Amino acid sequence: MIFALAVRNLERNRRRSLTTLAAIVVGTVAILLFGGYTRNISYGLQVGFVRSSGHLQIQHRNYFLYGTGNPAAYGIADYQHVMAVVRNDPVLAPMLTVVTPTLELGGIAGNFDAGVSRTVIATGSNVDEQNELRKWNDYGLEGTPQPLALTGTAPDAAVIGEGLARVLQLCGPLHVRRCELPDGDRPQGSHLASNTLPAGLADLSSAEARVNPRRPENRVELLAATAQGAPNVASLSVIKAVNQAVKEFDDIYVGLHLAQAQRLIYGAAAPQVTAIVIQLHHTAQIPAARARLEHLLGTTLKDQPLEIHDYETLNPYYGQTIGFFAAIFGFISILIGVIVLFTVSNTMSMAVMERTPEIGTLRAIGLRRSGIRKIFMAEGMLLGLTGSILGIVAALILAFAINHGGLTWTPPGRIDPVSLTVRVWGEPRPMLAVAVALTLVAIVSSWIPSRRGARVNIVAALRHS
Amino acid sequence: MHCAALLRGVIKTYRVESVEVHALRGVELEIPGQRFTAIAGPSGSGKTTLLNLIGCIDRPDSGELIVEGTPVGRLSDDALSDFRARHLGFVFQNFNLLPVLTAYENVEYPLRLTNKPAAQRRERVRAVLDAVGLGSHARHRPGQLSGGQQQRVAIARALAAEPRMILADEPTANLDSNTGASIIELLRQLQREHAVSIVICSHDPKVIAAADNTIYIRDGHVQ
Repeated sequence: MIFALAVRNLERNRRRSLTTLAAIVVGTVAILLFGGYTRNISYGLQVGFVRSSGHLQIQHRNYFLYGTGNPAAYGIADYQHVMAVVRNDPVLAPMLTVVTPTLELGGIAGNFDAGVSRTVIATGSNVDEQNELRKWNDYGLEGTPQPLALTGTAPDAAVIGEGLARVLQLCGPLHVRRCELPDGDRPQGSHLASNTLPAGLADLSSAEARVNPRRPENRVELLAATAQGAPNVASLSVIKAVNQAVKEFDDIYVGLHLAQAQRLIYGAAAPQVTAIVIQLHHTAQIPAARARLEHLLGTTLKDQPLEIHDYETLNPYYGQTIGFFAAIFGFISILIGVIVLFTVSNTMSMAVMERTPEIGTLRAIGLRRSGIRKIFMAEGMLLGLTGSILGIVAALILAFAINHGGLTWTPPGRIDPVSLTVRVWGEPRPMLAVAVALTLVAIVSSWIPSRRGARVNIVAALRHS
Repeated sequence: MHCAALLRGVIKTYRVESVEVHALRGVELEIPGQRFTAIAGPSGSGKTTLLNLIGCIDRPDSGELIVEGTPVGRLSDDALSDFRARHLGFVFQNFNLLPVLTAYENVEYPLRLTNKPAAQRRERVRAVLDAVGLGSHARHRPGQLSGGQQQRVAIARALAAEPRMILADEPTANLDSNTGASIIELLRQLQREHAVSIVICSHDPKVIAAADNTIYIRDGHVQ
């Protein structure tokens, strides 16, 4: 009876009820669309990081904090054994998609012919396994990632960032855009190899030039310290310059085959890696996989000083971006909640005022104060629930239109525009949360007017006109 | 014969802005049960205040008030609401039907408050609507009924929960004289048939003429 009464009372002042509903619908749509947009960004970032660095990484203890760029001191010695233990573990195996090693090292890359060099961070990886890593798409994002440029290339092949290609003056051979530097702007001594290249690299490059005088113009030398502390140089054939989206990284990135990187650092000694990248079927499996890995590190692999990091720790940018959008989302949600609160509260206050004689009548014939509160709160709840449901339907329609509207944008950390996607459909939890939250807000906002109505003096209410 | 209401030294004072209005000044009164009692007096004499106190929708400032054997002054607000729902019925000058409910639903409402089962409610609503001659108007909303019909629905609503006492405040004031007369006749008839106490507040001579006994009140004193 309470709800039947509430529906009929809402129908009494249709325009006011519709205006209130419209506010709730707009609020629901705004929250769901912005939530769907931020969710898509969150998924996109997560997919990007998981495709490049996996869900979890096994590293040498303290490598993450103290050992970056120092593979000699923080390499994982018997990494093949560690990988075998992980791959063959009966608990972990069903969760795994890829287990692959990487070796990250710091060094100096130089272009002998141009006489220029700069410090770089080089990453050696197993290209086939990296390509498998890049196939992960647990959230069904559009587009298929292209295989790495190193796929099917010679052992000495390398890929560098476009920024690094510019610094090393490899724009021509690598067809790098926006690379024309006026002569007057060339750095002093850029043609004087001995003034620009470090002495060691220049000597080693000269030796390489004597052995192979007809070098292709896309070769660079990568100088790094070996595990024993001696300098070593790898001559790399740069096959492509690939934009790394973040300029600071683009200016220092070198990607090469794992074996090449291992030869550079460890020479003839047993090769090591700086990380074992582990990718799972689903992100939600991280806690279980991590717990099992911790167990293995404490038992089977206890002889090795290893530790585990997840992708959020490895990529602080992810957490920062998610936090940033969460803050905006929270702010918008609160704002909309407050608007709904005041709109419903105003509507219910008007209703209480207009229906004061009815309140007096109901109280006179024996309805308790709580009964009066229930009547008005039921109206608030119906407004909130109906508005939320209509808002969800509207948000689904708008999201469909946006997702099929051909709109694109370039997310942070990416170089290519992607289609603007708003994830509303298939995300029941946010829809339910918004509906429940706004309905609760509507109930709460009708509570104060309903309380005022319930406390009205019966005689005064009956006299009210 | 039982006593429908007993008032001992009842005082009620209102404050209108900064002015104190002494509505009842130590009223001593006994209203007999199962009778048609009229409260008469000029405007501002305190008759509506007296009716409100007997109807338990207002509380005296001092004095003792016993309604249908219950000292209502000590009841909590909820208990007083329950008391009204079970033992009292109201008929108002402006009918005071809920406009969004049909005649049937308006009459059924007090029965819901007393948690009567649905089947009993149906039977009772039909019976009282037939008793007031509006059995065929059960689905009509108040806006679709004339003033007289609305007051009949209000009387049916007051009777629905089988109260011991019905309180009516100027029930004929907003009706033409013929309709008013028929309403008085109906109330009189129902009082006899249902052996209910009816206390009616009015200055309509027809009402006073129809009453078993009349209480005259002036300046807050029962004459």
